[in-house]
Amino acid sequence: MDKTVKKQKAFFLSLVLLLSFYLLTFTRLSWALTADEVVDKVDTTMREAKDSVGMSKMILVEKDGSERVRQIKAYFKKNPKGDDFTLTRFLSPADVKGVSFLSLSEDEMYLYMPAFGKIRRIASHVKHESFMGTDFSYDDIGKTKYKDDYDSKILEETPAEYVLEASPKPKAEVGYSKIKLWVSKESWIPTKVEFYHPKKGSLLKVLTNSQVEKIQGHWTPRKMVMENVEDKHKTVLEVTEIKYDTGLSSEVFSQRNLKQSE
Amino acid sequence: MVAADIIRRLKPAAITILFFSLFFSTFTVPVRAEDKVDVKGFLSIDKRFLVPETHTPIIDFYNNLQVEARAKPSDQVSGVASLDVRYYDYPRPANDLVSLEEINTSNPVEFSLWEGYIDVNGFLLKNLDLRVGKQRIAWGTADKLNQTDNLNPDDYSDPLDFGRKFPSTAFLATYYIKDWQLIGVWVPTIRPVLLPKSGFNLEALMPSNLSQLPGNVYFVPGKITTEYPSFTFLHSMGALKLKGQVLNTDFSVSYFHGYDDTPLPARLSNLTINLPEISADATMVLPHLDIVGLDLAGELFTVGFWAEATLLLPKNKIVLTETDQNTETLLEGFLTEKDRTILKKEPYVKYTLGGDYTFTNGIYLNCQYMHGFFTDAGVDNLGNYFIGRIEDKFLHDKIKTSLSGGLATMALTSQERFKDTLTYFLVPEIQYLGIDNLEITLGYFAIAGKKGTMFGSMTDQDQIYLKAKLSF
Repeated sequence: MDKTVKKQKAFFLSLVLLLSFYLLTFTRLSWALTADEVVDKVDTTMREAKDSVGMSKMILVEKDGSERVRQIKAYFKKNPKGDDFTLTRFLSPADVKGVSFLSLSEDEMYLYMPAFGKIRRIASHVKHESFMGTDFSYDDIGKTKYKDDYDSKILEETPAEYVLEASPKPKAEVGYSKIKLWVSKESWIPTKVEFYHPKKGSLLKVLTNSQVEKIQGHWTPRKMVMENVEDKHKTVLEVTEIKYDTGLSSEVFSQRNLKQSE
Repeated sequence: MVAADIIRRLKPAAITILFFSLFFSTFTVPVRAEDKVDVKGFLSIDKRFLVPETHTPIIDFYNNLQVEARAKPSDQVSGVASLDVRYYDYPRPANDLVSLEEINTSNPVEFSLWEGYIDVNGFLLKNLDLRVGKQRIAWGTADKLNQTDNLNPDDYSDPLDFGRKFPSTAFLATYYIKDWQLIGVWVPTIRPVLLPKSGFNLEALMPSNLSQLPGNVYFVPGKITTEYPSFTFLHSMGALKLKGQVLNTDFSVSYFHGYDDTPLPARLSNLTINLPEISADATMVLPHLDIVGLDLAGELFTVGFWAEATLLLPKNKIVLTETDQNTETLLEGFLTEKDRTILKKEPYVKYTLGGDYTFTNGIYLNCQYMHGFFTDAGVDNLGNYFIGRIEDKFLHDKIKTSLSGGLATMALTSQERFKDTLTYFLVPEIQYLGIDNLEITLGYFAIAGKKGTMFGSMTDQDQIYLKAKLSF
């Protein structure tokens, strides 16, 4: 009997020690992450795939609830040497169908307007402007890395997420005075991002990423809502289809392909 | 009713049916059932009201329907055909009862195949693309004021949309070498410019010293005939272009051999003198020339910039001559050969410089300076043009307002001449884009300047315009 009790005590002691060790280790590891490391994880997660091709529905929602819908197809390719490549095509409605936007770097962007049959180089002064009337700016659409432009600090940590505040680096050309990110510890996807007005410093836009799921091993928010808190207008981006690591050629991100129809 | 009458009556309807049948059958016959034919287009209703002092006439401007069918039977091949229909609100003159039997008298309509081409990607070589057929070949980096864009004829049918071109039949080959492109074009036949229906003053195409001859004598053109070069291989047009990027700036160099689409007066006949007017019929010719072009586009401190320059090399000198021997001496009495020289055989340079910027409050500014308008020809006849546009968007791009304006002077030789040739235009405009696929535009076009200058020939064209465009 004594032997059994001793064995039980030893078992519970081991369990408590193991749990304590696990909890201590887990907590220590969590606290060990600096803000830069969290942002690194976010950047890495968002750029984990070598490339992707996705179809999305973009819904522009007015203050009164009325909606306008656009269908877009987006191509992404990671560029290990610099800025990533993105190509976005509008598939509907008719008046914007075929309009395509190619971003090869922050200062090399092209817009193809089928009505003129001409590719137009776009200077980076537009990058903080609304992207085709949506609540996303050209920069929001094309941005895949936070670390290049922002210095971050941890504001809060909960068991489920980190809350970070990111301020623009001295020479960074960003459209916001600061941003706040709520980063999931499970997926390292920001579930919420607050964007602050570049001059007034007040809250300007809120991005909410939801329906985060693993697709082909990559965490993907299937629904993104960007809301302008000043005018209560919002843009909902629903990813209807996405494929990762398809082996996209660099030729997809060329002026030759920009003019092609889908 | 005789057979000829029946045929004449049925002709417009038959042509229309035939055209549509051909248009759609082109894509329904060769395309496999599982392949989609993509049809899109627009309908534009356009009303313009002249704003003279006494009354407000409606301009007989065209409404426009354009339907485009696009098919891609395979990854390598695709085809496009678009039908352009321009229809007018004014009936055509009915000088007899038979005219009233014609549908085109009360419902004037013009049909044309706008574009019709076949694309072959990777033709013979993986990096070679070919486009054959009636097409728009857009060259140059400037915003509409493209000096290097000489393959398609100018379309001045809408004076508010200058810089527009219309397609022409061509063979276009593009070879891609990494980020570089080598482009070759062959255009079998020349097409002349399309002038506005509201009238285009011939004086604008003539040296200014012909508008007012010495002794307050005025030249008034009579019948005008345009002579085309012979439609042979030797008189066809071609161009080559190399396009690439250096120091993050896009650039291209090009060479064009062919004809200017704007005719110049070369011969006068049937001269009649009724002082202070001299009138004569004019024969116009299209200047034969080579053009070397260069264009750039990039950005400097986030400001977008572009530049286009052309060196034009006329192949022949054009001197205004008379076919009527008896009056030759008379005209020579007014003008020396130098004065009658319409185009010297001397190289001349035209260029456009421009830039754009979006301010932090969202206001967009676009400015361009142009030395030598599309219709300016010859080293002594190059005007200077400054064109700017400022625009702003509201309510998530539902409302767009803009103010465009321009200043123009003819070739400058003295301060007095600068004042004499200065013209300007202003176009305030507001657009409603709140409903998908619908664009409603209200604007005002004001122009001022002396007769005989480029914009001055349109000073009676101040107008309010209201347009609705539905895309589908």
